Amino acid sequence: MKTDNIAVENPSSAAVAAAVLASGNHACAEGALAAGCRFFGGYPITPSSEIAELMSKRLPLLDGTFLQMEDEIASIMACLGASFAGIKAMTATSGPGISLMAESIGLAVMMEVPLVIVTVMRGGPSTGQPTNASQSDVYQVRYASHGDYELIVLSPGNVQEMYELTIRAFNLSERYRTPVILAADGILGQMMEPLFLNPEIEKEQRKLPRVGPQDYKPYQVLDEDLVPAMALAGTEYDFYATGLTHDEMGNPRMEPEAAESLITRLCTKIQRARCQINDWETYRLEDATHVLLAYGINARGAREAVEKLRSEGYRVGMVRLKSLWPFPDELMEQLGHRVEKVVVSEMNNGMLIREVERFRHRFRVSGITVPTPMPLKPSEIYRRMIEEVSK
Amino acid sequence: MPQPSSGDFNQQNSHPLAEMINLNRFVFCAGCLIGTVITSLATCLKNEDLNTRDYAIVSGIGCTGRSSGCFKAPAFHTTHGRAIPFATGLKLAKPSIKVFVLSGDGDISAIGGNHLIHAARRNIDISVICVNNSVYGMTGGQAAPTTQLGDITSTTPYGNVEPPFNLVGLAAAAGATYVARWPGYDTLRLQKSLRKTLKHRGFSFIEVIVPCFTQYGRRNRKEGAIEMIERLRDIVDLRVGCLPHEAVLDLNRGLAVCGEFVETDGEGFVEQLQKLRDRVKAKAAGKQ
Amino acid sequence: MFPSGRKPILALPQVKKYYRITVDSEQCDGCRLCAAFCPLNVLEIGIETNRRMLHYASVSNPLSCLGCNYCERICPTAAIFVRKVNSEQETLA
Repeated sequence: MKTDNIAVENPSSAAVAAAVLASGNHACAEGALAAGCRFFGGYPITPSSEIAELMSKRLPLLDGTFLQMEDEIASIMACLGASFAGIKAMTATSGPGISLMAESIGLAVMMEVPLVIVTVMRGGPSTGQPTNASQSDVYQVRYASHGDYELIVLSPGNVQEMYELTIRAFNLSERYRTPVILAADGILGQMMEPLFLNPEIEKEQRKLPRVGPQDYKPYQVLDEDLVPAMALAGTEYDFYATGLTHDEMGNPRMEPEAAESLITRLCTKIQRARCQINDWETYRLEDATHVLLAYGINARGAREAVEKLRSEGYRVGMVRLKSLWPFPDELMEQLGHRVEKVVVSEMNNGMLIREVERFRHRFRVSGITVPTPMPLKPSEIYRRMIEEVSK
Repeated sequence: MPQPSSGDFNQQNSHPLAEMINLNRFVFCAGCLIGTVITSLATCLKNEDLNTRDYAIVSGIGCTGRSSGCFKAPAFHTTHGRAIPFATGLKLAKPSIKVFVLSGDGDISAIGGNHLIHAARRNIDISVICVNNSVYGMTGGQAAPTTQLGDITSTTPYGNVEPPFNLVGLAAAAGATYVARWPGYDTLRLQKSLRKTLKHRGFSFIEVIVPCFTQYGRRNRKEGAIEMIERLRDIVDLRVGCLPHEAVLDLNRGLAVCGEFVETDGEGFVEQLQKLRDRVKAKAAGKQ
Repeated sequence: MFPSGRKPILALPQVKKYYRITVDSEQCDGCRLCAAFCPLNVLEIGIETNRRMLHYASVSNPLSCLGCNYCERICPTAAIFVRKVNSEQETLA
């Protein structure tokens, strides 16, 4: 069944088909359109090109704008410009594209621009294995740009979550005026599963100025959430958005205090909201002494392994992360009170395990980390967990 | 930091551009014509009765990069070389805004070169004002793709051996539908040209020659602002109908061809995109 | 012949017009472009300095001003502007 023949003009209207068979990339594009995305600037890269292709078909029907730009840098910059015009914008790429976009991600953070960047992780480093998945970009998505900043990164685990978490990404980006990265992997992007298009979704909008143009200060914070109101181009507001360190008027400031206060506010803005941002799913955690931590496509094998281990009486549970950054320290604290060991399973040479190892004083940490494009087999995880439990 | 202000006289007696520009953001060297380009653009916008709803200014990094903040408008100081794609996104998302890119020669033709040629190819409806001072001024006077042959810069201490770009030829060859070059002191012609770009459909490219005496002049002929402007005035040759690839800009041999080189009327990209949408929607409606 | 030595292209106007030139002394950074390029030597850079310790432009020959506005247009910091006034007294701020 060709999924792009569906006559879905407005995915959030009630008259929508209940379920379709869709690939992860397709689901991501549907999620974006449902969330109100009407601008896509992109560049083809395996394994995310289908997102761009679908957006190119659907956006003109919705009076949106699709533009295939000359490179990834132009893609993300065009999305930044569109966001300042008040249009929700998204771009989709993979590891090599994020490397190119690094500087622009920093600009989006500094200018506080709502933006969604989807990365469908593939084998690296460098050109790597374009048609294979991996989870080796989990540090890159957080630390691609230079400087001191926080970033929100979400991690879907199935096709339905490609849809839902894309919507969530848009909402978080609007709420906190920050770029949000959706870190999927090549398998999730290409595999096909039933997708339920939800006609009733909540769409958040950025905070607009509540004072007139004479009194408006572009980066003045009037609320507890540390998010300034965003004036849009084409309204009666004038404002200066710059990548230089600035004060609340947008004036570039080179004093040490200006850097301290701005960076602290930008980081605290995200850190303070971690309870609303962070998300994870637990499985059989009730009396577990050993916990398997996984995310993305790799979590499926982990879950099956945990089922088998539980059926044999081992007190093993699982946590699947649905957001990677800010790293859920609070989850680690919770586990710290009840668990002896956390085993991290990921498709890379050991990345998020380093974050978990920060809590070595609470529980022992061990890893089943392999830089492989294939999700680890349940039997393999089962075998390794038996070893871990007996140690 | 000291803020110069217009506090010496009353409201009615303030500068005609006081409502259009932020006087405290003019950070340029004393005598640098970047400020003149800014006031020329502001005058043009004022004469057309445009206000903050109607336009946006996008700039990159460098001396000219600081110019966007001088406007009381939605002003964007983006990253090096990326003003043009940012402006593209802004314009296509809200076509009612007139979008100006005000950036330097290095920003637009070196790191931003790819974006320049593609925006020109697509005929995106933005006006790019490229302030050409033949050098990277802000960072200390390094060579740029527009540095003249033989000149000394901080990275060509023995003389530049790279031939410079002809930006007018480059923009025209890439597909720009309005291309002009003016010297920075010729404010009236620059204003007229800018007014044309307001109404022009498609990609406009205006190169403005602005001498950098602090970095470039100092190292080459030990000249100040006034000497460099007078020297420029001597070599400017205003021509009508000159072909873009023949628009010589050779400050050493003494020829700066200025004028309008390309002026083609036709649909811009905004109109093309809208036609696409209408066509696609009509077809979808017809099918149902 | 004008004081600068340049010859007028047209005959000098019969009706005298008056112009007031205003200089924002704090905004002026003393670049001298206005004084150098004024065709009638109306402006000069004075001895006085502003808060930034820069010498700023001042009007030395207000009655010679023909209202060409070149100083206003060339000024890179929008520190000078010209307004037509009705009498000789008004040319002095």
